[in-house]
Amino acid sequence: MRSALNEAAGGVRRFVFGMCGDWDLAEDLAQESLLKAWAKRATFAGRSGVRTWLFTIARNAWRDRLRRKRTRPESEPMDQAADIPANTPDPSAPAMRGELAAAVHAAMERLPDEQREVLALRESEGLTFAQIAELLDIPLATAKSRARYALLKLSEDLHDYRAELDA
Amino acid sequence: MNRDDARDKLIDLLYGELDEPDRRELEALLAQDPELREEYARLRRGRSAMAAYRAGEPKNVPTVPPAESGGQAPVAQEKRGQAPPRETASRSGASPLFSVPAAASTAPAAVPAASSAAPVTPDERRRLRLRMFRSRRAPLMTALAAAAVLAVSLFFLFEPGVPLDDGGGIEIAQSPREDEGIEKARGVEEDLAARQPAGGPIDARTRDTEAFDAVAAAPPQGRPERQERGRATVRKGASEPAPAAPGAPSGDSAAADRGRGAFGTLLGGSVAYADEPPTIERETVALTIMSQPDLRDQAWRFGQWRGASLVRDRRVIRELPAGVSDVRFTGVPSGIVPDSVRLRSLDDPRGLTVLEQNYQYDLASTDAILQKYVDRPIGVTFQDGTAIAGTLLSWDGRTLVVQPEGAGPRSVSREQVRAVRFATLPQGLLTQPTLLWQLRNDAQRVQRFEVAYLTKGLTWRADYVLKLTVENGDRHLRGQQHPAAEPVPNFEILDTADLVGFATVTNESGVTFPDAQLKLLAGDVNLILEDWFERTTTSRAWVFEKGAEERKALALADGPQFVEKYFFEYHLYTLQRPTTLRDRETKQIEMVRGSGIPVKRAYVYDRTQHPSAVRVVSEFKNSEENGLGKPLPKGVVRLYVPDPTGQTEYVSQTEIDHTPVDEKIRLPWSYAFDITVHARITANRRSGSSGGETWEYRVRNDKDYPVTVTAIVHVPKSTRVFESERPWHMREVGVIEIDIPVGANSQTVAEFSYDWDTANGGGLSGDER
Repeated sequence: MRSALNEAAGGVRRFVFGMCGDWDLAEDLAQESLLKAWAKRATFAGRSGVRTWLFTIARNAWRDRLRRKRTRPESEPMDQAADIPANTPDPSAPAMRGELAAAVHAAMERLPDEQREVLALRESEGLTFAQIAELLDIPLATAKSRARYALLKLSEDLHDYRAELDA
Repeated sequence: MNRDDARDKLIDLLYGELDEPDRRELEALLAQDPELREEYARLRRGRSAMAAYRAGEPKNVPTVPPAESGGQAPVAQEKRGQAPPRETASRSGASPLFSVPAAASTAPAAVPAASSAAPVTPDERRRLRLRMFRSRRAPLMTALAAAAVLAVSLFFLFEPGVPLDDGGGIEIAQSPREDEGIEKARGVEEDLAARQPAGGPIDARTRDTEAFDAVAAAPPQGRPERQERGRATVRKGASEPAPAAPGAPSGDSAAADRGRGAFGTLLGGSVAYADEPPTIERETVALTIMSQPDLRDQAWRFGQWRGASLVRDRRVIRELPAGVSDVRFTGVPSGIVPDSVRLRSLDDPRGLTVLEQNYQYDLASTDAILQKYVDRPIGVTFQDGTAIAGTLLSWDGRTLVVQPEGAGPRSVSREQVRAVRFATLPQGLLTQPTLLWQLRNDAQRVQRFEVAYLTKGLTWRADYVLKLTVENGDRHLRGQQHPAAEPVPNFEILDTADLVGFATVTNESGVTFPDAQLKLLAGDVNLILEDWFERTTTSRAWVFEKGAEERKALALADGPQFVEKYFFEYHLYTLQRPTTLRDRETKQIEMVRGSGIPVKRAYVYDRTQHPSAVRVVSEFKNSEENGLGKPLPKGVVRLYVPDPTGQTEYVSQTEIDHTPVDEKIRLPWSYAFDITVHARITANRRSGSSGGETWEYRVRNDKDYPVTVTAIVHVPKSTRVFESERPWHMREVGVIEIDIPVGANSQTVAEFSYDWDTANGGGLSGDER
């Protein structure tokens, strides 16, 4: 159980980041979810995989946090945009990449929750659409269509960065 | 595989979830269908964007604490070389977050000390107000922050005629049948008390389980009634199982303690019967309700917006005694921001000192009880009448996780739940939020004071009704006509309209504000909330300060209901008469009215919004000559248009932003039925960091009158050259507008091309070419 949880931890953090756009908060919630899962491991019935179970806990933790959140956000994900490292000799590339990351952050925020959720789960650690559908308790076709609309919306919102995204 | 199937499967192809035959078939389709190819390219771009989004991921991965740490896991890890954020820092070490609470969940619960309160007759209970005072000698902020955990001050006002010691248990699913069960539960508790070894603690888990089983044995009847909550609170003391401390008397004596010690258990310690408290009367209340900030980009982080409002509540105490007194202040909203509360004396500010301020808010809501029932037995009744009983493992806003005896945990959607039943009401929950001050008064006298605080639960928004008179519009030639090559005149269509704006105020704060002076603040206020609060609570120039006579004069004046004033960076709309805002009430008050407004009708095509449809847009100026000419707060505009019989029909709605005077208002409605555009790319050029595209827009107009379609073209910001045979202008960087006139029942083709260079940037001028 311990190794299964640890293996899924990175994916859970990426999933929460996909929802909130903040690595610090994602790490907090991932740790919280891990500890909760570990504490409740005796109650794990084994009807789904450990990974799916952990994602469910993380999702509930995120929603709980969102519900409790009644003040302004603690951090602005936009601020992180400038931290994107560059590994290209082109001197203009870092700035462009930072601009792209900021634009992607903004585009992600504009996505409806349910679309962002599916996308975050799919991109976090390769959960299949079938697993996502089970986790979210939605039909398989709905999971796929949400991911599709999310990607199309991202692409539209990032029209100005087509060249970078196609590269 | 047809085209629709192929489009559906693109997402599977993108993520490699397609089996081999389907993949080959889909790739063959992609090779021959450019539109399918384009959609797949867009999906891939979206996925590339996700890769950019995740950049900056920390390398360290959180892990489950090692077994030898005993659950006290130092799992907080260094994050990208930065100091941990405030919240993370607070969780380090042996904070509850990193403690594995396994022991707590299995060991018997600690049993609080039994009360030693003296018995009180029922008559006394009905008549007296009961208070417990336990002073806090901590600073104000510390007291507020600790209130949630340490709530030690409790006040209950017993309603006449309500027996105190009947029944037991929690009445969230209260019914006559359940009363029987509650009585049984009480019997079980007494049995348990009798069975336990002398001096030994009661096993809380056993007690709860057996007590609950007795409750659950009585089937539920009817839906829960929230109105009975107050009654449940009164019962709380009587129904709480009498906790026996080690060494405390057991059996009959414990039961006897339970019977007479209702108040003791209720108060959890020292009991004080207050003298009749000073009479507090409300004089006036003023509300300033802020408009909703722009949450379109942030709503998912804020959660649902519940409003932010300033309440200035003036009350008078006829005879506040000299010396130290406790003043209880009820009727405050549950959404109050505790650290914003300020009290000041209006009559003798120097003679009245606030020694201490407490905000008591641990209300007996379902969520609050659920929180106290984690790892304890509950009963869940579903909408279809079936029920389960088990241990509550966890809960959130949407689900409960319940583990029935001998079975695995079960996740239950709260939407399916009709009632949740608990064996007893946990201690320390109130029925209404209460502010409690400890005041020092120099001399006994009348004290008028004002309490100002921020609260949630009060919201307002602007709603507009636009009634459009269409009659196919008057057509006017627009600007200069295109050369002879363009046979269709470039018309603009003018309609007329009447506009009425309402302020829609909603009170979900939990309390009623009678005869309130109402002010509505328009503007994006969330960024400087504290600054604004500071100004408004310390300023003497507040309109409210002008006195009752002036308010009366204003109320009688014949004029608009709202007077608008520029205030700091906002606009303040003050209602010129008092109004009562009842709890759970929505009130609409007219703010603005204009008639005969000339409205330009435009047809706008934006490929990024819709691939083929053209949106209808109404455009007019917020000017005095149009009957408007005052700042319009952000809000929803509903469009009504008369049908051919003259009857007005609701057709669409849209939103406007905060709009200053003399600013243009553009209202995008639905899509035009008779106008379509087929857009296609005719040339695509790429070379290193530069590239270009040529597009063709084929616009079809099936109306029996000519129209002009304005095409919005989004080009890369690095665009250097834009060419079109028609006039165009750059509305903003990266956004080009082209007017395309189309004759009645005809078609027009417009072509344009643009070239960009990401290495050398843009440079496209905004001048019309």
